Amino acid sequence: MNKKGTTTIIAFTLVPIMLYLMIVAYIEVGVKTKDYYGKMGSMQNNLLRTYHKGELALIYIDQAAKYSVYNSILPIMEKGGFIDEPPCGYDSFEDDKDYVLWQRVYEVLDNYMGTGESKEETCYPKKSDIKKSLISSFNKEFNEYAEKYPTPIIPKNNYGLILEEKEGKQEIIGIATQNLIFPPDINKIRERMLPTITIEVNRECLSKGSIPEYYSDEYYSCNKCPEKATCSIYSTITNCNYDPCNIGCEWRDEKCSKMKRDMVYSIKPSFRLEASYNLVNKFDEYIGKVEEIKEKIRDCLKIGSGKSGDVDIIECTKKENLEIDSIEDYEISAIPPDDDVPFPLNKLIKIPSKKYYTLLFRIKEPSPYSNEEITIKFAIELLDDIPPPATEIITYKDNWPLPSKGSLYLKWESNPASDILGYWIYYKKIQSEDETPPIDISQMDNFAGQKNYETNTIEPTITNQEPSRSEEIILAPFTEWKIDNSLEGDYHFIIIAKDKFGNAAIELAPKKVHIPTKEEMEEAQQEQVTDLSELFNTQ
Amino acid sequence: MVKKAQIAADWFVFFLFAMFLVLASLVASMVLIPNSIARSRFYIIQEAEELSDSLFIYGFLRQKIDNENMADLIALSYITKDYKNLEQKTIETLKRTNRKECFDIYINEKEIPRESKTKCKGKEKEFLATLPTSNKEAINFKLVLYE
Repeated sequence: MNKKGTTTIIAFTLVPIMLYLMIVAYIEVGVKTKDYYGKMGSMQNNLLRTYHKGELALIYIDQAAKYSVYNSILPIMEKGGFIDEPPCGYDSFEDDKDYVLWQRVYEVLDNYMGTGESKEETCYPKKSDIKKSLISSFNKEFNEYAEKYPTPIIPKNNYGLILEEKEGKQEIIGIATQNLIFPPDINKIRERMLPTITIEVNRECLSKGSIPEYYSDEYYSCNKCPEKATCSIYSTITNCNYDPCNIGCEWRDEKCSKMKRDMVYSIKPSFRLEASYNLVNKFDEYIGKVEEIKEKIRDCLKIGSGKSGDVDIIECTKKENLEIDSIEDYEISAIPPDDDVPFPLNKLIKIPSKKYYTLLFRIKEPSPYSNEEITIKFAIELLDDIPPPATEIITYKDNWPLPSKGSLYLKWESNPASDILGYWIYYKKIQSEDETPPIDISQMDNFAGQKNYETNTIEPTITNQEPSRSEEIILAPFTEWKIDNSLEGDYHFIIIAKDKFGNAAIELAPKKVHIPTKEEMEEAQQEQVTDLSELFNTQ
Repeated sequence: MVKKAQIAADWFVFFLFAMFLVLASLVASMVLIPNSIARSRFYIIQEAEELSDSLFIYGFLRQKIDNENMADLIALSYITKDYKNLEQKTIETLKRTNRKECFDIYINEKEIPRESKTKCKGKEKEFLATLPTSNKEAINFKLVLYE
């Protein structure tokens, strides 16, 4: 071929090629310069939007947690620290279960006959009780908020609480057990926020027999984990750390396939908030004050109110106050033991009777979170094991113009305790001048034997330490005893006051009394003695 | 004459070859350049800017006011129907963040009554949030700012 032919061939070849190239260039230019209306970067944007939604959800949770704590504190305060059934129960006087018992009196039965002794048990709300109440109440309150969030992403019953103290204030840390998951419904992922992102999290291997199991990251038993795989257990699910491709499985499409899972955005919605109201300290303050008041009332009951005709527990309670700064108003009221059943009429049959005092506390405090008032109510039962004070013998009864033999009366001061049942009178003849006064009633020879009460004979079975001899008593409010005709000379007298529940005075106040003889009486009458104390020579 | 024609043909082929090279490089560049990179980037930046602006709402809602925050104030205003303090605190917050006092607040799609309102024009920006109240309601809060 000559040069002309070569040039012609090249020219004819290049022309169609150039035509083709021109068409391609035209199309490419047309495509790449046309207006773009698509959403490039939508994946990144969706990711950012998801973070944004997460932040907004966290703001909602923080606020809801704060209100839930506020709403939880009020019922806990009002229920005396126990949101659920209190361990000591409620005050039996109130049917509406208003007063939670912080101290109760219960009977320990010794035998099948039902005899037993009464004991006190304290059930103060401890930090653990308050925490338990707070968690229970908080989750209940928070669930209501979680339900109202427009997207159902906030898990319910999701929090454990930690109470910490920081500079006198209480910090409440809510530890979430489940995370917030975006999107909540994995099946609708493409309609929601993260439409295009998938990540490779799992591989399924169908290998040649050496690895018989399908690979999965969730096995229910470690035994199913293939060799060379390690497993770890999270709750009930066993995860196999196993990659089939690293242990000889061929990574070919026909043998192994990739499983893809949609990516989710997950946040732990824990929170930390500062409660301006320190619930634990508040209850500790109340408990300390109640202990103090309890002891003061006990001491007061031991000596009596100092007035007659009143009820000691009520008078003693009136003297007490709750000196706590934050308290707006308070009321302490007392209920005395039952009067209807003063003591068992029969030894063998246990008649239930209320052998305790009840102190009712009603405290009003301003709510730290609203203009409302919080009313805190609780009660304590005080076992009536408080002995009355010692009874002091004054002298004989002035039976002017002059007593005659057989009409002499021993007189003593009315015991200041308001629940006195009667007086047990013991005496012992003084044998020698230097004889020391008795310090125990077992050292006394006899007891007074004259009844002076209006009712029929009552056999007292009041104390557990019942005297071996039968006893007769002078029932209150009588404070005199007609001295037996047979008594003459110097005697030591002891009068023991006992209350309706058998509590007897511990302190003895023996009194030396001279009981004049018949002759001394006649002589005094003749001499018209007016100072009868001289006659009786009491010491 | 033949020689002159031959030279002209050679130049024609050379010209065609040069054209071929130019076209080939043009097509190659067209194929290799990704689609609308510049405009895509612009779009992402614009969206990201809008989203980053939404950070404002977090700061706004968590803004401390005495012992509470703005979210508490919004909830309280909704309960008491007294929006004076909310309006005042919103103005203060906007001033503090160098923004105009041009705003509207909607709670549950209802615009809150304002004591004084500056007439505003410009591009609107909406910030939405769901907030709880102390009486266990969930309210939809919307803050509209005008640039």
